[in-house]
Parts: sequence; structure tokens; C-alpha cells
Amino acid sequence: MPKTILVVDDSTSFRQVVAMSLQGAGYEVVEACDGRDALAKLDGRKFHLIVSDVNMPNLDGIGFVKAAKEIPAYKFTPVVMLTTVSGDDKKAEGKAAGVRAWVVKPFQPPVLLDAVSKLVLP
Amino acid sequence: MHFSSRLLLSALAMTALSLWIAAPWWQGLLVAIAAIAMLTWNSAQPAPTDPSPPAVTVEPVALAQDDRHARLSGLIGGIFPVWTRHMELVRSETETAITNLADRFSVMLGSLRSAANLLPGSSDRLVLEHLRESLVNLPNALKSLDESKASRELFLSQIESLGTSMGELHSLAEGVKKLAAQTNLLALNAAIEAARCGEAGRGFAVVAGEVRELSKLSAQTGAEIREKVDGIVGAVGNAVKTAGELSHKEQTLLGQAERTVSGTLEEFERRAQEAELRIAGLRNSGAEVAQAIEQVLVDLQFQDRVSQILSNVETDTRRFATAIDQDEVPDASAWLTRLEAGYTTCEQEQAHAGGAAAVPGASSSVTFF
Repeated sequence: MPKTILVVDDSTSFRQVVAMSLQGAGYEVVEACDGRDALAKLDGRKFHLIVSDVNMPNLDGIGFVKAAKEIPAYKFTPVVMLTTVSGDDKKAEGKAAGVRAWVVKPFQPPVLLDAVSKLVLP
Repeated sequence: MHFSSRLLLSALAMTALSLWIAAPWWQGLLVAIAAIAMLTWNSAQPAPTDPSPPAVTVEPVALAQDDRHARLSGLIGGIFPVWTRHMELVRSETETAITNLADRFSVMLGSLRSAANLLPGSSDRLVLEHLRESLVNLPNALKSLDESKASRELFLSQIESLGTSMGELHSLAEGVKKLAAQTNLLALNAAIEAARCGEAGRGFAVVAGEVRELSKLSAQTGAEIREKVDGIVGAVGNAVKTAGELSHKEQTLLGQAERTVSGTLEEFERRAQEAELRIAGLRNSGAEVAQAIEQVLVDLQFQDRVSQILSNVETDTRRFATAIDQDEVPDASAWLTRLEAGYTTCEQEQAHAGGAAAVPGASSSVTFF
């Protein structure tokens, strides 16, 4: 049974790139176009990890992580932020929200896969 | 130059730069031409009579409603929405094109991975492994046949030695025959001597007669034994002859089989090596293409950054148009601070500071919390 990862990004092409990398490593991917869509996609479904952008319309990445962590089923779901934002203040904000790793775009697929493999739930 | 015109030109320059890097060259060129035209138009206007520099003011101030300003406002109100729509168009077209490209590369990468899975990998090189095993096992089978032939030859030599033993039996039978003849002769002499003795030798004559009968029976038994042994010797001789002929035929067939198997195995080995080379070549090519596509996918990520930069410029252009529309001249420093606050990439910061914005490479590290 493949492990499932939720990929949240407002860029369709970027979601495809991330999905392609993860699917190549054997993960199943569910895509969401922003934080609000991602919260709707959670819907009690088991996710072994979440990869999320920061700057998105409707609900940004940090807001989404805070909201997801409020849901008991996703309190311990690891989150990797994949974003163009590289400022320390934003990283600190992410850490406080419960983010486990921060990868700056553009990314090398092996770098993301390494982070995912280290954090993904069993 | 009038302050509002300088602000307008700054926005135009930013727009031109953004379009230059993300859109077809002619769109950036159009905006640049518009900026130069605006500069020329402003240079032709009389300088403001107020000598004090209005560049930095804390509060927005209303501009005088003269004709020139009205024309400028009309121009900005007409052009800015068009520019904004064009920027949105560029962003949308880039997004669509990159999405389509990524989609196609995704399909190609999937096909390559599927093809790579079809090639024998480390876990399923069964055919070649079986061929290799055959190369070892078939000569072993021939060796077993050879050993079996040696056993049969030993068996034949034992049968031949049995023929020798039969010859000895034949000699023994001849010995029995001679013994019976001598016994008969001896019994005949005894009968003659018994007759010469008269009445006293009558009992001895009876004994001599019985001995003669026994010698006849012995001669008859010896003859029968010799006949049987001759029959057996003949049968064994025929068996040995037939087995010898079979052995010779078997030797010939075995030689042919060895040559056929050896030739076939050599052909297998040659074809297996060729197949392995081809498979290794295909695997390497597939891996190289997959790697190249993965790198292309990394490069395609520029769209996300360009989209964010354009989006930021677009938002600021709208904000500027609104300010002009409301007859306001916002404070430049405050405006730029607010603009900077919306940056998400390090190259935006670098460009804002006036330095050459370096195109970022793909990140090679992760920050873990």
C-alpha cells in the first residue's frame, strides 16, 4: 500500500513537478490548489506527509498548517514547506506552526525526496 | 521632472523589466518604448514653479486640477488597466505553457520509467541467468552420459569374463565325458575277469554291470552339460557383440550431441552477451534521458518564481493606478517599503536594492526543525 502525500501549491505546473518526483519514488499524491482546498481534501483521509507552499490565495501555507494541526487526526502529520520564501522570520513562523522541514524553490527532486523519506509517517 | 511622472516611470521600468524576463521580447519592448515616450513628453513640459522638492511627503496630497494633470490622469487611467491585463495575460500564458510542458514531460518520464521497469533489472534477470545456468548444467549432463557409458563398458567386460567362465565349464564337461568312457572300459574289464572266475565271480559281474550303466549315464549327463554350456556361451557371445555395436553407436551419437550442445551453448553465450550489452545501453540511455527530464522539470520551476514577481508588480501597478485615480501622491519611501514587504524571493530583494539579481539555482539543502 503506497503512502499518501498531500501536495498544496497554487501553481499547477509546480504541483505536477512535485507530484512527478514523489510518484517516481512510489508515493501516492493528492493535489490541492491552496490552503482552503487542502483543508477540504484532508476530510479525515490518512496522509503520511504534507508538502505545502507558503504564498497562496484564499488561505496561505502557514495558515493552512495552523488549521490542520488543530484537527486531532493531523496533529502529528509531518509538514514540509516548499516555497520561494527563504526569510528566517517566515521560517520561524512555520516552525512555530508545526512545520518540520523547509525547502526553498527551485528544488532538486532528490533533496525533497530525502526530506520526505526522513519525515514520512510509517 | 514632475514627481508623479517619476513614480509612473519607475512603475513602467519595473513592468518593462518583468515583461522582458518572462514574456515575449516585444511586450517588454512596447512597455520600454512607452516609458521613453513618457519621459520625452515630460521633458517637453515646463518645470514646476515650486522650487521645493515634493519627492518625500509623509501624507498623500491632492494635486492641482489643471488640464495637464487631467490629461495625465486620463492617460494613466486608460493605460494602467491595459498594462495590468497584459501582465495577467503574460502570467496566464506562461502558466499554461509551462503546465502543458510539465504535463508532457511527466508523460515522457512515466513512459521512460515504465520502459526501464520492462528491462531486466537486478531482481528479474531470469532469462539470462537461466542461460548461464544452462551453460554449466548441459556439459554436466553430457559428463553424466559419459560416466554412464563407462559403467556400461565395465558391465560388458564383466559379461565377457563370464564367457571365459563358460569356456571352463565346457572343458569340465569334456572331462566328465572322458571319465565316463574310462569308467565304462574299467567296468568292461571287471566283467571279463568276473566271467573267468566262474561261479565265484558271478556277484562281481553284477557289480561290474551296474558300474557300466553308471558310466553310460555319466557320459550322457556330460554331453548334456556341454550342449547347455555351448548354448549359453553362444548367447553371451551374441549379447557381447550386440552390446559392443550399441556402445559404438552410442559413442558416435554422444560425440554428435556434445558438438551440438557445445555449439548451441556458445551461440547462447554470444547472444546473451549481445543482449546484455544492448540492455545495459538501453538502461543507461533511459537513465540519462530521465535525468535530463528531471533537470528540465527543475528548470521549469522558474515559472512559479516569475509568476510571483509578476503578481507582485501587478498588484503594485493596480495600487498605483488607484492612488493616481484618487488624486493622491503617496510617499515614495512608504510606498517602496510596502512594495518590499510583498517580496517572496531573494532576487526581488536584490533587484529592489539595485544590484544585479542573480538567478537562483536549485536548492541543495533542507532546513529541518
